[in-house]
Amino acid sequence: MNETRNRANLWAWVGLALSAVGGISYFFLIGVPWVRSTALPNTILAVAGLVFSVIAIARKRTWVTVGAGTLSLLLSIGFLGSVHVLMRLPTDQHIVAVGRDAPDFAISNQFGRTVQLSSFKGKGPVLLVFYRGFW
Amino acid sequence: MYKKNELPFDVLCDVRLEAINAYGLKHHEPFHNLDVSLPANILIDREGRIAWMHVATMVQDRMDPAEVLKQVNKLVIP
Repeated sequence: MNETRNRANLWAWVGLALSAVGGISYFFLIGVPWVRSTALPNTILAVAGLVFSVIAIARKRTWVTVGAGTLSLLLSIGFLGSVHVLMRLPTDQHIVAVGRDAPDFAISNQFGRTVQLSSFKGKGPVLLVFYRGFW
Repeated sequence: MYKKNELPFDVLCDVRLEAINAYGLKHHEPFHNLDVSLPANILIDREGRIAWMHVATMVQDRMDPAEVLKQVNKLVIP
């Protein structure tokens, strides 16, 4: 009996650790481009944490398995939901495409001078960086 | 800020969403209830045509500068 309870508790602790590490480490690894865009290692850890927690609760309902398990589920689902759902941007809105003419515009720069995009035609390539300043 | 850092490029403030709408990049940010731009890099050649573009699919996604420079060099270096 004790053996079963201890084993179940262990599954729960491991599950919690995996979920916590998976979710939290993403924000420390966000400087690595492929991690930032895919969140692959973190997703694997968070899903593993979820699985371990479910197994723990299924094996035996103790204060540890239910407590740690619930926390682990919240952390995993919170993380997975944030990165794969909440942080997603719409991908279906494209007016422009490669090969098409770049739409012109006239906007003031940091010195108050109006910059017209078409004034660069013939002079050289232009890189437009639409800098979204926050999440 | 620009005097201190001496930026060699123009910083445009698109308050009227002129460029943002022209390029189809408007995003209504739900949490702050604001209209902002999707993060994007658009490279235009000297004929005024779009040579390359990248639009982010996640809020935290920003292009790797090395990748952007690689695309720019294709147009600049013969």
